[in-house]
Amino acid sequence: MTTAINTGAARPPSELAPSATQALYPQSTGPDGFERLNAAWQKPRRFGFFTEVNNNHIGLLYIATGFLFFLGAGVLALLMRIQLAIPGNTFLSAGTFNQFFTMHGTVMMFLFAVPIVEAFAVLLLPQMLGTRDMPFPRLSSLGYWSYAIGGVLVFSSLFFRMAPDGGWFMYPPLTGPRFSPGINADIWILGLGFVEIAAVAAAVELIVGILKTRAPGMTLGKMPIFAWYMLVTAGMIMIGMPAVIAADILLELERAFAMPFYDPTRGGDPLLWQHLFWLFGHPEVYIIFLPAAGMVSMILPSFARTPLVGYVWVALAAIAVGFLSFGLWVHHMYATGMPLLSLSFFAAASSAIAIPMGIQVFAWIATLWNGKPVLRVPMLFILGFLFIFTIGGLTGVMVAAVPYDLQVHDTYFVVAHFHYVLIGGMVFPIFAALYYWMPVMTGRMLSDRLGHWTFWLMFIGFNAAFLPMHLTGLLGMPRRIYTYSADLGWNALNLVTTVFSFMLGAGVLLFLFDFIRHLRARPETRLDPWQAPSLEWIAGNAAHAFRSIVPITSRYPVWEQERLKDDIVAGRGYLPDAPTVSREALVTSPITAEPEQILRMPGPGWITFLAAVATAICFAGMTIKAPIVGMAAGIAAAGLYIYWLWSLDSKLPREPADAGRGLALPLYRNGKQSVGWWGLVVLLISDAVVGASFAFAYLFFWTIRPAVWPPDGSQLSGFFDPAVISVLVVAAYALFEAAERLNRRERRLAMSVCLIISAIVAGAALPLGWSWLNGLGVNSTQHSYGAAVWTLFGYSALHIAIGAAMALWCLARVALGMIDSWRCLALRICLLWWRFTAPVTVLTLILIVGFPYVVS
Amino acid sequence: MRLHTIWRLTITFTPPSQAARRFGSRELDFKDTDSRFLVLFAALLLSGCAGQQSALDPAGPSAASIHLLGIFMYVGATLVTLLVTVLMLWPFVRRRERPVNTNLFLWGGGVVLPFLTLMALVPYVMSVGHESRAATTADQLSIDVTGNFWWWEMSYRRVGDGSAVSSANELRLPAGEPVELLLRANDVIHSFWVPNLAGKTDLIPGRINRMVIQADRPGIYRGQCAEYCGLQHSLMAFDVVVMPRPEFDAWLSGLARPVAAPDGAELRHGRELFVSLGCGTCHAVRGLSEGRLGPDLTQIGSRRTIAAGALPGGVGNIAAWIASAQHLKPGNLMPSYDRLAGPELRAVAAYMESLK
Amino acid sequence: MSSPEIHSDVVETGPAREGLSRLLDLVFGFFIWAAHFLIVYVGAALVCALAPAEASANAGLTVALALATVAAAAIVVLHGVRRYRQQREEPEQQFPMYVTIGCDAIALVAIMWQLFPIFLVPACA
Repeated sequence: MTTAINTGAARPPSELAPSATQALYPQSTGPDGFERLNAAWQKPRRFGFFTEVNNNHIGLLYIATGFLFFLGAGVLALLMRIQLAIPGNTFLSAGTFNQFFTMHGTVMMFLFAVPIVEAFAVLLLPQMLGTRDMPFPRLSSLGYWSYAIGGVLVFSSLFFRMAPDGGWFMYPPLTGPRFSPGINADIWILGLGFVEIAAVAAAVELIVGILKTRAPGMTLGKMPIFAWYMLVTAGMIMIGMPAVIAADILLELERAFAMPFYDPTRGGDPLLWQHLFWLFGHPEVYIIFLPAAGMVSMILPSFARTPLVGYVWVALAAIAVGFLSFGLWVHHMYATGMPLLSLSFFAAASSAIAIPMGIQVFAWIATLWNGKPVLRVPMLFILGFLFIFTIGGLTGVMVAAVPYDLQVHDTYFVVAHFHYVLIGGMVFPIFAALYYWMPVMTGRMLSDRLGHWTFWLMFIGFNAAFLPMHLTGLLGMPRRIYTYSADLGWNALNLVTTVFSFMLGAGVLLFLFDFIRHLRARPETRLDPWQAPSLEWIAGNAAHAFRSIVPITSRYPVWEQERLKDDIVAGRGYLPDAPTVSREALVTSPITAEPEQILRMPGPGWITFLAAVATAICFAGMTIKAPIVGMAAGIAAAGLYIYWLWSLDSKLPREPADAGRGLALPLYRNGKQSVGWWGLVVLLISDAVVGASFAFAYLFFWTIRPAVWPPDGSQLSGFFDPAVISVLVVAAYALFEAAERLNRRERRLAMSVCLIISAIVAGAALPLGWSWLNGLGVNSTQHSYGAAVWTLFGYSALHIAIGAAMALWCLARVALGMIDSWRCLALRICLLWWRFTAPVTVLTLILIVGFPYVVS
Repeated sequence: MRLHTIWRLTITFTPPSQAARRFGSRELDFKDTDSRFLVLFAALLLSGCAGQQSALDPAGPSAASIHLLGIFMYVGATLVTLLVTVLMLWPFVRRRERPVNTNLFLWGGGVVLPFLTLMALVPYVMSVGHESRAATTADQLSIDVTGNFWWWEMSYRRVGDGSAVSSANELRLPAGEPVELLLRANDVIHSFWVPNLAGKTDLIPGRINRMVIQADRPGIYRGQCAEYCGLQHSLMAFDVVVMPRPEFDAWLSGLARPVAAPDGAELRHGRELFVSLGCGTCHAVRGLSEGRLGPDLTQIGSRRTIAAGALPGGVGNIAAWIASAQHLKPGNLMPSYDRLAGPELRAVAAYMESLK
Repeated sequence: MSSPEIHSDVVETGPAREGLSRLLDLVFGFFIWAAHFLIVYVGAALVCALAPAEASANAGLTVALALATVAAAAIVVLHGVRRYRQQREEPEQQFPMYVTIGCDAIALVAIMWQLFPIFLVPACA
């Protein structure tokens, strides 16, 4: 047995077994080990389509589904272009056209763009990182099925003529209950709900996966640049998505329960929606762009035959874009009449972001100059990307300028701009990625000749269609109009755009034809046409990707590490075997990738698919106003989730297990190093942003009517009631802390008592809060103030209720012997929840009680 | 079409001052084929830019300063695009044998180039556009513009006595003066945009947005709603008529006066129908009715377009609108009066058209 | 059964400073940028919403915003310099150090960039 390569860091001390031979489950590097490994990662023969959770399977499904939505939304665009080809056309009625442009934008942004870049990450990242799967495979699967089912529900509304028609960013009051009384807008909110579940799930997976499951030795500085881009993207999803989740919740509360957040006649403000939406909406476009840039950064060095120039620069640029993109959102709101100084902060930031963008472009160009680039089809698409995206970025600097934007905002100029950055910046890289990674995805190559045709059709078609749009907009054509007058000088431009948009469509169709045709060839298992440097090219086709996990010492392991592939295949890495026939990967430390744990991951199962279906039926039932169906499905979904959660934190041996290479690692971590803990941290950060958005709504309403606060005539609160509520909540939290500490000393009875009292105390806080607010006369439907206060209460109450349920959950597990001083991750995660809930509740109370005093 | 004819046509669209600026004072020799084509190309380009709803054909200081800013940016953007394109294609055309100075690319192209460009551009940008937020005094013209579902209400505050005179779907401005606009919305968000004059400002329910607009060149321009506002957002436009100040004052006085008594049997009949059919419940006509639910029709006959830019004016279109408003602009808030007999319809339409 | 040893997350099995706080320190500069941006934007919006007409308030606002900018810039510079001095000798910390001071540098530029609107745009137009 070989000894471990010294990766330069200290060996793990006390917890591990003193010698490898005493570790559990010895790993074998021979063919028997390989057989068990294959058996563990085998895709089920029957129904594997629904039950397999491995990232290879889910990733492919994700990409295929995203591409289908791309085609659907593309067809909508072509139909709209037919309508706009000539002035006064009657091909589509106004109502149909309005549904089409809303759905085109919604489907492209939410059902194609974000999911497909997530999809490539799900498919490729684990292999690029030298590991076998994402850390929470069932979460990936739930995310995918939620997205697929929810997306189909939303898209199908077109066939019932009930599609949302408020534009893809659905501004109230137009989309409020008064002016959009049908269920169209509710369908939009519903569909987004699913996409949001999928996106947050993906963010959790990506952050934890990138930070905690890389191959040993793959330090932050050695991980593929795509991992940096995806880490930043996941962080942006984590912070940005919750803002639109909050906005959607408030819109649905207004539509369903008449709580006036956006209704100016009752103290609300349409601008609240715009702030919350664009706080998400601007980072959203970088969420779409950065993964594509990451893919370009992986593909380009491959074709240039040289490492990426300025790896640190590019990582820094990605981080910079990730953060700075949150400082740009008001540039979508220049025309709303806000003070010029406020607008100018965002104008300055919007132009400054050109610098990290430019750094990336020049890093790529320098890489091309440094190497001997080869012009294959993926490289063609990348050149197309560079050209188109540069133009889009430059028109972006133009529209960053407030006065200039005031002319071109909401015109075809800005439509041209964002299609240049989105099609150039994402669609072209996606096509490059499809041509490049098709051997990894299907084991076959697409046609080179048809690829050239596809590229030129798309490139010429796109530019000829969209370049004139800049002029059309400057000549006065606003966006989202279904027809126009013949005497405004827009006729020829629109016709040209329409004709060439069909050329673009033809290119996409040709790609589809090529894809279907190429499936007829026989797949090859060891296809490596580009001699690329990254690990996904030497992963096998099996779900486990690598026979064994070999330590990495370079950024470009396939180019620079000798005998890497031989070592992997011969089992000279970690985990060459699956002694208990379960799916395993390594958990490593975030910065230097020291091995920390063997992670046992779940295999195929029905629970995620069924849970997604039940959730979908529940939301859909509520949307189409069939509450009985909705509630029944909701109960079923709840049952499934509870069953799933109960199966977590399963019993694992205390002793460390053999990880291969003479190293023994624990199978279980019960604290801050466990992936479950990190996963909840990511989720809680997103949760906090939702709460912060609600608090922002409250404060925003104050800025509208600062003179009288509370503005609805409700009383200023006394301090006694909220103080009691705070004490109860803090006590519930403190009791939970006590229970955790008692657990470490195995004091089960005392611990159980603490948990029971914690649950009771927490439960008592809820009716107390309810009666307190009612006693003050705070009304949720009369005025936005009341609506905001009740929303904040509801947010805290939900967290407290879940916390109380968690106390009872842990109580049950303790009674059944499923929690002890070793097996306590579940307890600690519930405690982490309380560590969040208690301070947030107290802060919310301080805001509700204290703010009116401060400002009066 | 003969080249000379095209040249003549284009030169009439291009304002003389602009033509002189661009072509300089060089004598144009039509026997010189090369310069003819060059000039023709430029003229076609410019003629394509002129228009009654064009940001590339400024008729006011705000639009002019924005257009100038734009030109700088178009030139700069073209240069950068060319640079990036050449740089990215070069390695495929010429192979370099020496290693590349990566710092030049990263620091030079990635940092210094955008940094210097923005250091020049950002201060320039921040100096443009302040005139739309300028302060105005009480003796300057102030107009309330209110957006409704697919029509515009304009209300002119008369300087001096502070009373307001209403009109709809047409904005008249005195040339050469800053005018304050107070923008409101009655239902959903709309946006006020006259590209020849200035950038746009949203009309947001629950807020009053203020902008200052100035038109220097008399003429007729077109504005259009620029924020999606529902089914007929496409058909919510308005005409902007810019006239010298004395003419404007005369027009405004005329607008405030009650309409003249109708002259002739048909027009009298039309006026009776206006009252008996209940048109006045929604539409105001000075001296005749006070309805505010729909556009003020006091001077409907002199408007270039009707139904918020949906149709050209004139008695035929007015009649068509009355009889089939729902067919011409489905979903708008005026029902089709399609049960009227032919003579009655003609009479009402003729009366409306006589209101000038 | 009670055991004298505490089986918990107390023992760090990797090199020191690999936790969440170490990771967040890499991007410390951007957190300062975000805080500065919020303070400047919200501060200006509040002052203009509550007291728009007074010229003295506007001049005071400009000064306050400029001071906040300089303060934020100073924090970021100090952080970068400090990390550079701490980590430049350690070979393993080279990449994290570059990321840290790189983020500080970019954040510095982004923070100072806001001086453009602070000085060039009238305070409550």
